[in-house]
Amino acid sequence: MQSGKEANEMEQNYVFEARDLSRRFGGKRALEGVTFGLGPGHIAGLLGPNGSGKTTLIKLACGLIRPTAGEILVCGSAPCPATKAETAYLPDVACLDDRMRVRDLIKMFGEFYANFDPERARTLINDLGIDEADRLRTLSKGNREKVHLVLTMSRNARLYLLDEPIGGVDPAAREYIIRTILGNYQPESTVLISTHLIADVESILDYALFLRDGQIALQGDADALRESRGQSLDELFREVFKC
Amino acid sequence: MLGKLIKYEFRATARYYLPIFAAMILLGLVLLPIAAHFQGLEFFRRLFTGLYTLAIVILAVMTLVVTIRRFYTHLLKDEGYLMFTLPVTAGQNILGKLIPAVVWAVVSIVLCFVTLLPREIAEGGGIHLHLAGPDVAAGAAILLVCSIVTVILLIAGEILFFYLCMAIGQLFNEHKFLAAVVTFLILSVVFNIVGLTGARSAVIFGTGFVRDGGLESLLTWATAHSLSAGLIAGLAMVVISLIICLILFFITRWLLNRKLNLS
Repeated sequence: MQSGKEANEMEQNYVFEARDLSRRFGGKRALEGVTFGLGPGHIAGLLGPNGSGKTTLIKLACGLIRPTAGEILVCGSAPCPATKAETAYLPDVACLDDRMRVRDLIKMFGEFYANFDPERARTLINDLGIDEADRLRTLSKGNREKVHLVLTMSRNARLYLLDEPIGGVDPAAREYIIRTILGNYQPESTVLISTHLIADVESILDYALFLRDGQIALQGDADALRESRGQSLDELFREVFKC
Repeated sequence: MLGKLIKYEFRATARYYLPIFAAMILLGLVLLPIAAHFQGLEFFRRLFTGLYTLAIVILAVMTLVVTIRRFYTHLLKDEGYLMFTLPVTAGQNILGKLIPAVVWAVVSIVLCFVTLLPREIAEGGGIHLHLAGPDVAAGAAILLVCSIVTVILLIAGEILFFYLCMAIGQLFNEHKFLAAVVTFLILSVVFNIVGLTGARSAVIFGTGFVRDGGLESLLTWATAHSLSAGLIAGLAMVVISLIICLILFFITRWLLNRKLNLS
């Protein structure tokens, strides 16, 4: 059993934490009583069908919306400019100014984020065969998404929030995305990947949070869940969210 | 961080303004004076006058469109996901749009005056001041400076009023821009109903004051009462405009902080 001091230390060590977190949109419940904590060094899956509250949870962590009740903490603080500096966020919408050139985007990220590594970004962009002088809008949709992923993963952030990074892309692109995430995140940081495509990310997850109707249906260490249930996370997902 | 936001905003908007500015300078300061100077170039003088007028109309419409569009698309549409996750505050995001917009608007106005000036001088126009003494001159000078500051603040207030309407419009889940337009119309009417007459809300005091002859009486009063009067009157104008700007800014900031509703 943990002593009070140890428990307190663990609590302070959370990179991402939700305490009885709720969010409503008008009368509609998006999240209700969500509680969890993720320490450093995890790659966690935020798993659930569409409309389960995954994006809402991530938007709360980014400070794009505020909780209706409860708390959400990033590196021990409520979302603010300081936590945003430590959070690398990949939204599920195209939000980069597509008139900008790739090199200008790299420069811009470097100016706004002290933990951005422009050399890493250039290397990854060159690996993709994309010309830095190209404007974003001249690239294919898939390459635009990859550029944003590269910019996100080129930050030495403490928390990576990736909202549906493999949704709507072909299997080859999924493989590239997963490889890029694995090859570039900082081992001491925490990665939260929201997805409903469990099979593609199952192998890299060490923690799983299953969201259903805005509530946590199941959470725990990925290996422990597999062992205790005798199922893969994908099978578990299908069981938990069986229609 | 605010400096960086402003830099990127200037960079993104310069491509709209600079070509029009260049056209106005070319037409107003080079081509029109040349055409006016030489006999037999009447056709060109008319052509350049027409083009110059067109440039001013384009500039006026473009300033309005760019100001609204940059705030709406960059902060309240998909690009808002980037802008509001940068390590900056909502207030900095608003100022990052507002300051360049005010600068472009002020430069546009100054450029209109500057490019019109040669014709005014040629036609014998201009400003003629007859001041009674050094004290009165100082009072008038202070009033003039305060008036310029007030005009800049009223421009900022006007832009902030647009921002506020868009920040209210984005609260709706659908037809956000339409909601912003309706908000604009309703608020304008409300401000008129409550007696704050003026073309639009942010300039309610300014335009109402001038239209009712307030500025003229103020100037008369200030010149009659010299330096201190000029100072008091000028500062009053600045403070009132500043209060309008601050109210609009803080309400918009609160909405973007607490009620941001990106699609």
